[in-house]
Amino acid sequence: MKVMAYIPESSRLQVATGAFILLSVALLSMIGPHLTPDPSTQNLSSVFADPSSEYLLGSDHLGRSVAARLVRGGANSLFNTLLCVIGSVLIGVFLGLFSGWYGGFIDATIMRLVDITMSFPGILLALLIAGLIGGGQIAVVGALTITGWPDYCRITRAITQNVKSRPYVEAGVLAGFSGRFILRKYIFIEILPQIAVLATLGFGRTILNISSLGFLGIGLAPPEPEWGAMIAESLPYLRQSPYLVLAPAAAVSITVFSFLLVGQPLARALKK
Amino acid sequence: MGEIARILRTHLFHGVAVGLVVASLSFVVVNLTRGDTALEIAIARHGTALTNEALVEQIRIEEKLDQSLWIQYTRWIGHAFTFDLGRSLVSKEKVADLLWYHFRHTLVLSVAAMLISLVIALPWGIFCGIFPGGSFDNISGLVSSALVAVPHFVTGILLILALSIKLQWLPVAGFFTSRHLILPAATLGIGLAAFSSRVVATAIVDVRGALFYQFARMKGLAEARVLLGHGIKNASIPVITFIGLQTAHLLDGVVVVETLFAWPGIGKLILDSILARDIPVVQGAGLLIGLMYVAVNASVDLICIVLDPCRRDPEAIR
Repeated sequence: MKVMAYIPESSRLQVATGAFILLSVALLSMIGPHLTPDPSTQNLSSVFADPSSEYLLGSDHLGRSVAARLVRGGANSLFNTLLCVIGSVLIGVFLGLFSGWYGGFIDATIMRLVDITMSFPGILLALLIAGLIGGGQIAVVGALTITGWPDYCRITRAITQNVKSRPYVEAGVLAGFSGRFILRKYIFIEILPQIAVLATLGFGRTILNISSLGFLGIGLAPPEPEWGAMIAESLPYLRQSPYLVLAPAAAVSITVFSFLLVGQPLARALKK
Repeated sequence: MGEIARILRTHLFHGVAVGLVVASLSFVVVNLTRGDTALEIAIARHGTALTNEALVEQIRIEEKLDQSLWIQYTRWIGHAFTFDLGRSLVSKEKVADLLWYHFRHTLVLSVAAMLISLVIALPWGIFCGIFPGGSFDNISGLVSSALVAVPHFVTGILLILALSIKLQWLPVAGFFTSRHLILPAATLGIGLAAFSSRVVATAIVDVRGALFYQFARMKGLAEARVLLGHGIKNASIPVITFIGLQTAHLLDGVVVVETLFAWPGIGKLILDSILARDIPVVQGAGLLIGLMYVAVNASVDLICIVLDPCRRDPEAIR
């Protein structure tokens, strides 16, 4: 394992545990939906059912299988998060490279864009965009991509500026290499590990944000399940069946925690 | 002086940008993606059953929605910059009054949450910082990661389950007495403490490694004396900077926590008005939250300049 060599001895167990949980969550979300019944089928004659062979984890207030909704919700959350992170990284790295390499007016314009996006607290901007559009997958993914790119842009720009002034890059320019070649061969490889670590942590944050938006009622259109929305739906029944709320709550927390378990030691290792 | 002017200029730019973005975004998104705004207002005001075409036309003229989009937009921006926030489309109350009422509740909640977080985070962080790498420090690191990973609404629900439903000590939701404040403030405070205890710990470790600190120890001063006399003040700079970042986190959590606990603050107001498409209120609340954020960041920068002479005039040091 080449990656493991970069991680200090003391946190290898932590990273491995996190990675193992993440793999299990991903596998469950990919395979689970094929093994469980349809997550949206209601059965009003067996609401709040206890776990049984038919309802692996019991049923909710509309008699839908909690197990099925949990794995399908996981699949939805993970897939949407993946889209957000890929989108943010692409926009961020692209603009960051431009900004750092060319400087001047382009740099100033892009940095003002970063400033404006970052002068909004947390998910407020995403809430405004996704909420006013009216929710739905495209709205949520779009909104979180728009709010997610500045981190990647700033780090890419900083590294690009740093690398640009090194002698071997100047030598490359003098040797007549094209700008694109230098960006790819000299600069991009420096950026890659930083972005990978940032994206790991960003993945966790995006899952949190998606579930917050889902909890607030701005997410996938019901009855499509989603962890945050499942919590909000089952909240009125907290007193009699707290389990309906705790299951998706545990799913969100464990997944995000695993991303932190993997991401934080890597981030520390890169800083040194 | 140059430094202070620079800071004020930067933050003024952010403030204006936030205002423009909120005003334009809400206008553009609503007009591009939504159906008939007048129809929606009619339904929000009178319910689906009572809404008919005549009523919709009446509202369209009343709210000046029949004019061209460009005229509507310029009026929109103009009003936003003169702080004429208009009236709610649904309840017809003045937006400024609504904002003031909800802002007070958010302020109380935020201050309480901040106090709770400091009461938890300062001793916790300082202890971890004095014994870094010890087992308590390592476990604290994991605990705070776990707390960061748990969404605010889950912390809140767990507190409700434990303190309201099982033990029946505190009311579940509402805002009538100070007892109603405890759960939402604790929910936010615990989340914040998880972050800030780590920042406090790092700041203490850094300060204890600094040369002036080592020197004070070597000349024979007791650890506690050096920590109180030199350590705390120097460690407070990164911590105060972090409090600015925390405000972002706080305003973020406020929307979720206020919704969960039915606390009538600005976060609940903005969510309710987004769901009801009450655009003047969305704009007003978005503007207020954005400006609060910018204002806190500006004051954090200024406080740091007061605490840290090195930053007053960066040129003079070189």
